[in-house]
Amino acid sequence: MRLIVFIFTFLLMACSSAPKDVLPAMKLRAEAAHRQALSATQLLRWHDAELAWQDALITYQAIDDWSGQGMARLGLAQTYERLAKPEQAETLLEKMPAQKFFPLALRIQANYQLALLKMNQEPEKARAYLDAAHTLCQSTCLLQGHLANAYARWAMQKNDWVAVEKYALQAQNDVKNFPGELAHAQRMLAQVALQNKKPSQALVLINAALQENKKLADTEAILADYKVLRLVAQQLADAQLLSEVQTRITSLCSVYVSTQCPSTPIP
Amino acid sequence: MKLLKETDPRFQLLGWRVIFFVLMIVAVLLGLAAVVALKQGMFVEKTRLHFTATHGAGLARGMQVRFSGFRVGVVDKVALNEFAQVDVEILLESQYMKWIKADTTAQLLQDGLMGDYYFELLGGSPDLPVLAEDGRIRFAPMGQSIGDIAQDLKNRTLPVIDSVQDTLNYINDPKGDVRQLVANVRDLSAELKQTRAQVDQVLQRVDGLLDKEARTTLRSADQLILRGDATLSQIQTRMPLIMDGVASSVTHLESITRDASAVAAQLNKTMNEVAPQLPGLVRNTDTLVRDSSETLHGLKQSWPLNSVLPEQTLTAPVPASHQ
Repeated sequence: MRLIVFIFTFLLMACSSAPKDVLPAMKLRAEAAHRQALSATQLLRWHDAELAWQDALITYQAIDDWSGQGMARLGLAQTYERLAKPEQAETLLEKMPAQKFFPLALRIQANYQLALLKMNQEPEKARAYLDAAHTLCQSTCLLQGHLANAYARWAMQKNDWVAVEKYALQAQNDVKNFPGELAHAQRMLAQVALQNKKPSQALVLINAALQENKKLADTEAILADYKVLRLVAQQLADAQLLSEVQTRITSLCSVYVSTQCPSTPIP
Repeated sequence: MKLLKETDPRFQLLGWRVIFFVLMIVAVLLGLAAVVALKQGMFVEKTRLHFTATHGAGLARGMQVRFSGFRVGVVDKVALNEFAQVDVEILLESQYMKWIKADTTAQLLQDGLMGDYYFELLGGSPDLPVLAEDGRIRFAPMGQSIGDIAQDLKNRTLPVIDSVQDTLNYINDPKGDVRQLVANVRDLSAELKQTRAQVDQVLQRVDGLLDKEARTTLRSADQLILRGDATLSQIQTRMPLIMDGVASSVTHLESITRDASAVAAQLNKTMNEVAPQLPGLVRNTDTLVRDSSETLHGLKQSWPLNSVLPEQTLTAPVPASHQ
């Protein structure tokens, strides 16, 4: 009986895990580097990610795989941005939107990433990239919510709070599958509520955003949420909340290096 | 009572024919049952024996009991006693009881890796009396199971892999002993060459010095000759001894220099032999890591891991809009 069970199990395993076709060496190398790069990006190991994305980019380019090359460019640009090399990121991306060999979704994302790169220093260029992405982005585009948030962020730089509210509300409806983007939209809506002197409404919104960002463990976003929450506490004249928020910000900034911290202490 | 007279010869004595047929069937069935019972040893005289096992895993009624590989009985009863141990009763064909003694041991074994469990009777000192009905024998638990073997293999293999990893890390460590040793050997070799040059210089100076001293001594000897024969004879006796000592020192210094040179050459040779192997070791390590990675990737694609660890989709990560 045991022998039969053993043979049956063996046959079942043999049938269910048939060996896959062996990919060509260059394809294998490109995909291995791509996987390694994604893994390093997820773990925020930016130096490892840089090397892996570069390897993936070169290999995809060598086998004329434009889709893979486009993904590698976008990933490498994001890594460069995190490593404070925005010029290199821009160089990688600037020709992507016009190059039709790249898939449409990647060209839209290239415009979006270029807009984020230019958002603080050259807002007009950022707006142009956003408009280009919006033009390319059809009704089923996956980045509609991201673009709406980016528009809202751009409007906030211009102090156009009506536009901020409009775009953030639009983003809130479009980013159901992206909790980080939803939290960003809620944070911007909380800032709008603060502008409109509605601290109670802002408190609800920023707490919702904070809850999402804590789930995602995104320290940068959590810090941004606490900065808004501090303004809410000031408007509410809630000394206890203000003290609590200040303690949390101090704790975060003591171990995390960020431009949002008053200084960048080394732990 | 028959209503109609039977005229067809095929139906004459039909009742008796049916009874005869049924009796034949019954006889055949009984015969078959008798043969099966005979084969199963039901008509063989049996002796009941007992032993206590520590664990009941794999024990069941009807299990075979073997002696020297032959089936000599079956397990009749398996029950848990009040000490949480397992009382086992076996029925042994009495014809084999002549080998069963008080020190006979029943060991739980398994047919092959995946086969049925059975008891193998071992031992039985020839000088001990044959065990009687309801006698008690010893029990030896089963040896290593597949799980034990796998665990043992794992326990033995993992430290080896860790050790290899540690060794490679140790060799590759730029501040580690191996790298430092190679660097030190290189430095030592250079220093020995320098030392040899310095020793050569020293020897040249010693030669010059000896020459000068000998002349002075000869001049003094001339003066002493003039002073007196006694002093001359004394100098004449001492001079050869001094010259022998100096020559011996020079020989000794030359020997030291030769030894130092040989050591330096040997160290250079050792370093030259070791150095080319280091890149190979590093390359082999790289291959080992790649092979391990491919094996893991292959394992992830195999059932059932492919259902637990789905393959990563190749995408471009989308940065958050707040960044």
